[in-house]
Amino acid sequence: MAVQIVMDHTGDTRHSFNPADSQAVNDAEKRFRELTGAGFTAAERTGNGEAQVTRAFNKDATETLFFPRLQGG
Amino acid sequence: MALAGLTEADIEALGAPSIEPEMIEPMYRPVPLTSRAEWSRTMMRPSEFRPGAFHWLRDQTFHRLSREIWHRYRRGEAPPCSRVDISELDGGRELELRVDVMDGWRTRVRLEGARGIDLAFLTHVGYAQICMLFWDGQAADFNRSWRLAFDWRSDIELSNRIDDAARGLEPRRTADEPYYWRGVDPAGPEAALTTYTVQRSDDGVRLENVAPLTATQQRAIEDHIRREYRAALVFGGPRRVEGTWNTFDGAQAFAFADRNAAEARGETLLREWLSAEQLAQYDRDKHFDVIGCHSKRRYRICRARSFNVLLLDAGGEVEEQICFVPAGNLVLGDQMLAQKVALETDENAAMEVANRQWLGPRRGPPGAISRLMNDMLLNPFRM
Repeated sequence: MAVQIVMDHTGDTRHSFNPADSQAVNDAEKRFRELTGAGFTAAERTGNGEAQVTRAFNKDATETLFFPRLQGG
Repeated sequence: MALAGLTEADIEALGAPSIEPEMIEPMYRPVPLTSRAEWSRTMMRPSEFRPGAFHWLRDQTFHRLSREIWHRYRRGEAPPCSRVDISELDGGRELELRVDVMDGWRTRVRLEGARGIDLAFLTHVGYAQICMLFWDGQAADFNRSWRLAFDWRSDIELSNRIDDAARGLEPRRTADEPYYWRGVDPAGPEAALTTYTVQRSDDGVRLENVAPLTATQQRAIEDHIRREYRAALVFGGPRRVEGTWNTFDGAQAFAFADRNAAEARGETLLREWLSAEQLAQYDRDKHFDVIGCHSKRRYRICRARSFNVLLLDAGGEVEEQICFVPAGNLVLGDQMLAQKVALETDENAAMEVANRQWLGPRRGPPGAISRLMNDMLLNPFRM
């Protein structure tokens, strides 16, 4: 199972999907587009404590983290 | 509609309306309980408390301390108060107040019972003790972090509110800053302004004039009813409880419940995404280091809300203090994780939006010489 983790006011919201399920993959890709279109940054977890920013949906990514647009504090 | 989660058994557990207040174990033995304000002004020795009063006192202290700490530290940036214990010492002549705050912070205050103790005093002392811990450097890291966010006006507001509470008045508001926090409620800002009326009648509790409530809001209302209804029984007041979501109590109650859960989730997520070294460092020092992907320089992400990213030089000294955060007032764990991922994967983009403050050795000549040189170079007619 792959999971998309979206940071929000509740801490995070997790959307799990089966990469073998084409409908679930379509939904996940749609969510990816909506979030990145809204300014979220998507990062895939690649290893122990390592991540990589991704601009395109990857259905094989085990964990994808979405965080909102950065701004000066 | 009937209030979900609050059954007739719960109501009965609070005490039936037909029972006289004196039969429900008043808080103090010899004091006539006519009003809450009078109760809060009453000074009693701990040995004169009835059994069971400690539980009630603890709950009230927890509630009020949480509220004061929460508001004092600008809502949501507060270290939530996680536990309050009150125990009797020395045969009832002293009380000990123990307060645990998130992050493992705890303080212990011993209160002399010789001149009596009242709730307002207890709350104030516990709160003051926490402030002293923050300010007197007994926990240097935390102190440093929160010093940045401090606002003296909060202290004035706090003392106003303590005075108001002692007089039994509604808390005052500032003109530009309502006490409720809109950002927390997942149902949106409108829900936070919903008015509810709760009425106890023969056929149970009714909740009127409500918009759809979240589970957390329902819990908060139930807690509010239990607290107020029990107080009404004890003090012999009207058996009717009402309020609005834009009063501080109600909004604060669900804001706290939500925020605590959210903070815990954010912390869990952060820990899942840290490397083993970073996690060990975070557990040990409450901060962790990351390497910028472009500059290959070392940044330190500290457990604080603003200006919590430090740029270190080759010797490990702080060179710059940097502030960039994800939009939307996320919980602290999320903020720190977003900062880590941003620095490790797209450092330049993060630095483009960041506010930066130089903390390293002074660069260039001292101010007076610098001004003189500027004058000579830019405005020669002044010489």
